[in-house]
Amino acid sequence: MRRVAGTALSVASLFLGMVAILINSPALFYMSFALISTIVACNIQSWLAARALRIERVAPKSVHVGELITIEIILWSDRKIKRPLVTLTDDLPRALSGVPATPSLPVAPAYDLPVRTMYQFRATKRGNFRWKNVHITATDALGLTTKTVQYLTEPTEILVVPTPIPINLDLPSSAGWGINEAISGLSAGAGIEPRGIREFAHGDSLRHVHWRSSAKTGVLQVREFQAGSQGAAAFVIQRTQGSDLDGNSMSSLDLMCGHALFMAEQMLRQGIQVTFPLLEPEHQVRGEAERREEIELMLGQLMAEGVDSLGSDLVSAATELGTGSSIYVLTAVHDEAVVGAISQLRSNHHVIVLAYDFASTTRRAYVGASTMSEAYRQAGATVVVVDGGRG
Amino acid sequence: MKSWWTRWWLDSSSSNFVDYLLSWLGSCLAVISCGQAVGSNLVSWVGVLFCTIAMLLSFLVRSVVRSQKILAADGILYSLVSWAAFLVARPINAAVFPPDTFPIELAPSSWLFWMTILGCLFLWRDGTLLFQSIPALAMFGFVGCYDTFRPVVFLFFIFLICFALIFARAHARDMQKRAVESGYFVQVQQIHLSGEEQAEMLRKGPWRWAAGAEWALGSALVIVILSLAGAPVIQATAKPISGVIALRSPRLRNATTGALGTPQNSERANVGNGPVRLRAIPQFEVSGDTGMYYRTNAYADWDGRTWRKNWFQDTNPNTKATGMTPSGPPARPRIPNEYTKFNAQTLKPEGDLGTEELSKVRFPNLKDGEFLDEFRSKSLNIRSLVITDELPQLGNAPIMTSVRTFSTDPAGVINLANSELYSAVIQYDVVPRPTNKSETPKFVNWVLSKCLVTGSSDSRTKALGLQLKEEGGSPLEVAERIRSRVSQEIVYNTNVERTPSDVDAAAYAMFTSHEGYCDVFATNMVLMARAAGIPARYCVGYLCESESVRGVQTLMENDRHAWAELYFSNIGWVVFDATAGARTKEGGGRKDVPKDFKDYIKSIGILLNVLIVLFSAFAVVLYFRLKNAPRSAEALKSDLAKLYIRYCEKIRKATGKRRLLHESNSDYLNRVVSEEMPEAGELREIGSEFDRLFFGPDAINGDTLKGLEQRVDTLRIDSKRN
Repeated sequence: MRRVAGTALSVASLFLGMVAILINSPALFYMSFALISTIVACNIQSWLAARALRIERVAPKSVHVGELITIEIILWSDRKIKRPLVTLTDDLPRALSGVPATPSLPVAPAYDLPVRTMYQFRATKRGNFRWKNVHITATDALGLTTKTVQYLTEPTEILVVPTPIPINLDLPSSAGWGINEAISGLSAGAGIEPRGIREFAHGDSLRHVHWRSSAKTGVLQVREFQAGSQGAAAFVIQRTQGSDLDGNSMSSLDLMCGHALFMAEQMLRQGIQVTFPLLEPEHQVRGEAERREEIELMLGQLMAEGVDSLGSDLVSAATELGTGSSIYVLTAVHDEAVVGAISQLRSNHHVIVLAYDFASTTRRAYVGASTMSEAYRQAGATVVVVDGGRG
Repeated sequence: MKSWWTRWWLDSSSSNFVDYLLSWLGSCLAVISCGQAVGSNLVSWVGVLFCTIAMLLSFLVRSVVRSQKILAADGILYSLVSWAAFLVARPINAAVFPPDTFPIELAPSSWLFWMTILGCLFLWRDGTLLFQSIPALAMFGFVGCYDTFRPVVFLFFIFLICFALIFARAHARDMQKRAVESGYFVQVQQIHLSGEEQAEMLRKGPWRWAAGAEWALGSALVIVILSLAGAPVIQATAKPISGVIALRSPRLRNATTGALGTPQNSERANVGNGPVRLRAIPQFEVSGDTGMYYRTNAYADWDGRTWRKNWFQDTNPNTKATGMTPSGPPARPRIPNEYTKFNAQTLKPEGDLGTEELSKVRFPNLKDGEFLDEFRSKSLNIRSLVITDELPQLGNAPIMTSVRTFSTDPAGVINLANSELYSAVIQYDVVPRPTNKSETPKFVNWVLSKCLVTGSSDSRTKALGLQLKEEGGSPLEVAERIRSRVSQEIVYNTNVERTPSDVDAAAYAMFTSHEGYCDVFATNMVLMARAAGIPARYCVGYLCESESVRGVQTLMENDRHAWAELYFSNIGWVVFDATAGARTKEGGGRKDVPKDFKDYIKSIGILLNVLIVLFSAFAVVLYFRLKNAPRSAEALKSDLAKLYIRYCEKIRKATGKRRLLHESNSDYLNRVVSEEMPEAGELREIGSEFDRLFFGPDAINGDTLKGLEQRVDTLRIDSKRN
């Protein structure tokens, strides 16, 4: 509003000045002189205010997708001048924040004192982000003019790790160990022992609802099962270059990471050993919370930049796994090599394929999830089709 | 405990009483200017009253209504009333103010006047509060354009200060809103604070060093002072290119004076009124067969101080001889054709005077090589730029076409019936002389007989006229002799003192003061010509001496002039301007810039020069004093800090790495300076020296600082290698 007012006033003052000259009106000379002086003074002030600043940015090292992030920026003035308020706009990577950041706190930089400003935003994209530019916008005391200057700061890096995305997997009892053991345990005596009863959480199968407890407490309760100490699950996520498809609100890789994290959390809670072969050089036994954080950071940095096919990754991953472990393959783009890999592995491992269907959102030629799932199923894998369009 | 005023002044959470007070003041100044520009106190006071009521209502709504939806309607309502102001300004003006309060040129100012007042009703949010300055600003512009109210400048300056404060305060509110949106108060866990407390917290925290509304006030005052000194200089500088557009000046209801102290459209013209100031304001645009002397009025009777028209009042005893009835004026005649004195067949002047004698006479409206008979083909296009009932005319009796309403004057002057802006075409053509000479109307003789009356003129004037006649020669030669004598006796001076009230103004100028401007020249010329038996009349109008641009002459207010016109049989009325050839007193010429204005510009110039010299001298003295003065510990520390910034900057340029705020000097050097660097030792030594001076027990002295400065200056770091 006031920027428009500033422009309008500049034009008006110039117009008055011209009219003053054309009709030689003394009163207009005074008026236009005063107005033009005001505009010039405002411009000079905002110009000076945006310059000679030192800036340092303080940002958290890692955050979750969707988390509100506060970035602190410290400014101080290199000149001993009284400045009007300045605001700043950080040059955030476009992918980092899908929604605009809040405006920064307006501050008046001082000559010998660091003055802190801040702004907040929500990270909407998983990944490792780095940036170093910041734009300082200074106004005059009247707010009529603004001047923006770009400053270079020390590079800032933020790792945005995925948030667990609940997924409901209805797997048959033959699906094997890992989380599926819990499901297969329902049909009694498959080496699975009930762990207890807890409150229903989003993502729990309705088949596990413990109706008696639910009736008693008035709150939906579900049975929880504990896997045997031998439980092991490995996740292989498709990360071949070009396999990351755009979804409605998140890409296929982000969705797969969110699901993988959710499943990993569930499994860790049940004492299952969770690994991500090929993504972590060596796996050390850690506590549940520590392991969870490790997985988060790892998934946060996962990019679809690999050169090997998913099938090749699957075969390589299997070499690191013991016999009988479950391998969860998360894929969005059909890979012929996967069929061969499943055939090769099915004798020693249980392969569960989560086939993501992005047919509704992707624009390129796309082999539908039903087609690829059929191929994988025939090869011997348990296939779950996940609607990627909702992602 | 802060006073309520301080609290309101400092509160930047929402608009409050202070903002409305400032807006009210700005709006009132605008409407007062508007009222004064149209010469009506009523308009000013009505404006102030309505503005006050409207602003109070607006403030009430702002204070009582909490619904943002309702308050958000202010913009739409403001737009609606703005349009309504354009539509209903005329009927409201007619209902509230006397007729013709707003002249046609200032009609837009009446729209802005009502827009400002009605707009005051809907100043519910910052947007409209700020927008209110736009119609006010436009109003000041209008008033400034027509220059009918000079003090508008000072009102505008006060308005500018209000305007700056309103904007500064609105800016602070906007910034506070941003601070809330930034999440600052959540971050510092102060979400429970009220807006006022938030403002207080910001002022003590991140806004502590800000240049705010107080700075805006100070700046505005400086700008006002600067404008007062600078604008006249700019105007004087722009003089060669300024004034190229002739603006129609509005004719105001209360306007009384015209040029030469003569009210426009007056039945009388005063003489000897003292100093006169005529402005370079355009009055008419004339094109076609233009001339020099444009007559707008002619007068018959002289009473010692004033010329009166009195063409229809039978004050002349000679009228009995002409057969006119003394009981009353004759019926208004048509334009007398008999004023055309040329032979329709030969196109030569009739009568005794031949071409040779005519060539001796100065006919100001003729160009070289032209003859009088060429009047027959002249035509003049006139466009008035001011509301007036004057019609500038050239030479002998014109026949005017394309006129709307006009009245004729027996002296050959056409007056418009109403004061208005007009555009007219006047054609001068030969009108065939009546074939039957016996039909010559007695009316003409009656008019001419009035032009022979010397009335109550001074006896010395009459005597001199007779004396010059007795020296012999034709009437034209006598007339020229009189003109020459008047021209020699009186010195032209527009700054002349007013003639004492008890004396004949013409005789006083001719025989006592020997000073005056065109009115006394013309009056003496007329009275002496009459004494010599030559019919003469006192004429006022415009003497345009400037070259026409693209065939168009602009008659300015300072072109106004008075002269004598003498009647010669067979020729008609001939201009005799006694000011031609007269000596002019310095600074007293027709177009001289008024002395006080020149003095003003000169004073400003001197003042500026003195200020520049003083400032330069002060700067030189200050420089040497500072250079030689022992530096205070504070100043040395400040210099040391600046030197350290230079030092860090050198390292940054060479290594591309800036010192982080949390890093100490040694941390920074450890991070960026590798031992392979040849300058590493020197860098560390200088860094240690900085540490010692900044944090050590020894006081900094000038020599140490100078030595360190040299070391920093001579430090060369190879940026390519690093």
